[in-house]
Amino acid sequence: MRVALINEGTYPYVLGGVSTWCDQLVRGLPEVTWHLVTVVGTAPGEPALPLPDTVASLTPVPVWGPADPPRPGAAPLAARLLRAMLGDGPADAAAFRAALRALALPDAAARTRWCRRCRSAPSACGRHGPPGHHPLHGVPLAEILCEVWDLAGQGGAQLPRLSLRDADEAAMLLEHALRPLGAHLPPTDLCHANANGLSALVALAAKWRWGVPFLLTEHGVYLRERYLAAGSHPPAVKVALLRFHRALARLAYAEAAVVTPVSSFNRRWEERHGAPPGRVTVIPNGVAPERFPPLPGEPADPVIAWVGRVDPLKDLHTLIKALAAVRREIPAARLHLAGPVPSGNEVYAESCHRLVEELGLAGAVTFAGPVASSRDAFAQGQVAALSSISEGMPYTVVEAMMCRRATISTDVGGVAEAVGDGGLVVPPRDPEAFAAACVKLLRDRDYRESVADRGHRRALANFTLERCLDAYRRQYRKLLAEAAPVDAVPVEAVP
Amino acid sequence: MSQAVPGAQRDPADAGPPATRAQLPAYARAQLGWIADTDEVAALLEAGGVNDRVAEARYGAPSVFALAHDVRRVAGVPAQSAALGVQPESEGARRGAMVSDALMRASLFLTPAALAVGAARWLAGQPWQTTTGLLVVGWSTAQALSYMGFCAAGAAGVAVAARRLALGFGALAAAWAVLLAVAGVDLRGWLVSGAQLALFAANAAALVTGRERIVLPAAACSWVAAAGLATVGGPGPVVLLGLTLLAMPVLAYAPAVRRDGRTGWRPRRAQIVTAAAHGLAGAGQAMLFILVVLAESAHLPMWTALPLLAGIPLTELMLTWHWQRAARGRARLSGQRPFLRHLTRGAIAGAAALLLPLAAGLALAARAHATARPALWALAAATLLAGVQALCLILAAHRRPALAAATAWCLASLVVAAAFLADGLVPGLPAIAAGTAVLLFGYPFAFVPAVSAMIDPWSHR
Repeated sequence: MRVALINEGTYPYVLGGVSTWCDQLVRGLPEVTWHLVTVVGTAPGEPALPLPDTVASLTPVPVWGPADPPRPGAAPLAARLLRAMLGDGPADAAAFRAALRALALPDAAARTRWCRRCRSAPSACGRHGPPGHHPLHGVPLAEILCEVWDLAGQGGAQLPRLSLRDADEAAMLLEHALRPLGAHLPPTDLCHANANGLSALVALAAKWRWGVPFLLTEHGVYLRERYLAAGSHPPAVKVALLRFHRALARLAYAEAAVVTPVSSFNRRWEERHGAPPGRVTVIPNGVAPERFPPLPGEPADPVIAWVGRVDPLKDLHTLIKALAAVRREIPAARLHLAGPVPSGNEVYAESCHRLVEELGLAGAVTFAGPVASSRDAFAQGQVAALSSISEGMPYTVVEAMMCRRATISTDVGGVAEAVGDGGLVVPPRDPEAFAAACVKLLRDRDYRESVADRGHRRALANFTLERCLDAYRRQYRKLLAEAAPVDAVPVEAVP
Repeated sequence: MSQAVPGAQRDPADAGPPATRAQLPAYARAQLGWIADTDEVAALLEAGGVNDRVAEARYGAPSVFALAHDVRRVAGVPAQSAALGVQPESEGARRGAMVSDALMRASLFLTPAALAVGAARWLAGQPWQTTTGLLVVGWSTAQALSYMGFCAAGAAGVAVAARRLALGFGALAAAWAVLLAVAGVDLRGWLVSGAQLALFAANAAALVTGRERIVLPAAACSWVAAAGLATVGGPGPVVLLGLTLLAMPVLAYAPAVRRDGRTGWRPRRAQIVTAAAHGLAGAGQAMLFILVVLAESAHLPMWTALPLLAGIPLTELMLTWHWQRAARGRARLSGQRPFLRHLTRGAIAGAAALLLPLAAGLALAARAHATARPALWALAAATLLAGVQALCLILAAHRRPALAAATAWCLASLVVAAAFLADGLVPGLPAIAAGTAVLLFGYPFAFVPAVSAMIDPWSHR
């Protein structure tokens, strides 16, 4: 079984949660021959992780490096694509699909009778086919965008004013964003896009060219992340980019053979944007129990342990304020914070230190920095806390449950469905509610142990790594068994 | 998780969504500006900790999406002027910065001329390998490598660009050292050649790495040293000149030793071809300078070259004004036709400025013909050449380096041909007059494409 695992900016070049997940998948399914395809900014250096022998190839797909030659005849397709992305109806979605698909397939006019590769497999011809060509490079995209923007406005679409500089900026970003469509994939039986967006572009191209089905996993929700990241652009550029990503995300949901979010929380977004409910299967992240065995005991002091990166999304301010409230009831209570301060978050980390000082908690809060294993950090506390305001399906809560620590978490993302009855869940941004839950657990050892036991059983039943790997193994096999031409258009054999 | 496409992450933690539903539209407007769609509001709310349960408990909405829909409907659409998001900028400060940048570049470009004047005694009797030969090759190399440097800086950063420039000028220095050794030039020749190369290399690197402001004080010291050489003489000015000529490349190439993690950059074929065209244009401009100005300079007063010296800052100012104006137009206008009209209006002003050298040159040539004063012929030639150099610079700066090269080389060839034929056709006509006539004849052929380049929107994308 040959699987192309397609990532954007993560595995195997950058360490982090998604890379950990990928590494577990690649090592956990040794029967698969893996082709790693990673959409990157510019040409990457060496992988940050050692790759197992089952990895047959590693293909970086830079979006910001030097441009490849343009695809012939792209200008009319670009106009259709941009016009369609600005719309919101089914006809627009169909037009977007048709234009993107045409850009992914070889241009009939560019085929050469004398080129043997063109005759046998035009989609794989590096000279005249799509691989090695950047679909919209060299196309006067800014001018086209201005025209379709005007047309959409005349058609009643509510759009901000697009200056020529906005059009230049949007065109440049869109041209680069579409480059993965020209990526050259090794022969493969199925694609596993590990995010929507640019990773899905690679998978869509493979499906249209060779009929290779693809599975789409979302850890966060790609489209939601685009909404949150687009704020720094001028209004028209923001709207152009978001319309493109919305249209692309919807197309990928519609074309994917299976969509596998890591939580039902993500599923809401996916189904809202057209993922057929019957094709959505939630596969939660898994944790290896042998790496997180139950902790043998607990410290004598009432300590709340937290593990994660120091980041505004983790809302440590609420946690620190909650500790102040807890100490009104339990004066000996302390907070143990373990995790790195990522580059760019120094100001936020300083604000946490400042808040600790302001609340008179200097001796009660420990900033322990990075830890080798979250288990070591959980061992420092009687309970484990997660105060985030945004999460997908957090590993830390599952790991704490696996270590048999009672958890207090905020009701965000997929947290509540992960915790179930195996921990306490409170509303986000509510220090008093968080403190009340902490006090309840810290004061009552029996209750704490019963919650920890329930959490441990729940983690073993639902969130083991083996269970997660089995679910993907089943999906792969099912897709291969069902694999058939997915389209009426001429689909070529895998070269 | 996505890192390939850059974008600043909004910080949602500092001021979460307000407590009441009525406050949410104002909150969304303040956070998002122009709201793209309902889902942008939903993403904002979720990032602030509002999920379906919170939406129902706190805001009385059945879900986040229903709440977001309602918030977007109430928030509405901001006025177009506000949505454009153009930051008002102090017109005076902007214009001042523009003028100072242009004059700074012009000062660097003028440094070789200032040194040539100051060290004229040193240059007398030097072979072509150390003077005109190196002027042509150095000018050409500087143009070509500057283009390459800008490409490298854009793709891989200024450290890589500075290293590439250092490599290019290092190669030229090595090749030229072999030539000087074969020609057997004396120590003074080596020093003159080294000084020329240092100036070309320092100016090119300062432009590419954006260190004009840092290199300029050293250049100013070299002007003082040149003035000292021309007036008082002695070892002091020589030492000062040597030190400044060492300091300029050191300051300009300082980013080359910076470690920014980026190393690899290879020019593409199209970039190499374009760089070659820039190099050819530079060589042609240097040839014109030698044929029209240097060939006759020994017999003529220095002030005849003043139009050329004045032309450099004026051309820089005009080009900067034109680019800034075009950029402002792209930021302000929202259609191709208005932008074309905007460019045309600017190009008309530019054309009027570019016709001034032609008109002045014509008047001076007529006066020179009437009075038969060679100095007036030289002044006319220098005036016209300043205009031609400006036209070549405009063509090269508007993505037409091949046209600039063709213009410079055609005119240079015609000047040479005219110098040979002039005496035969019109007995007694000085060579400088023939050169002036060629420039007068050729000026319109360079003027028309240069002005059309200024109007072409493609030049400004």
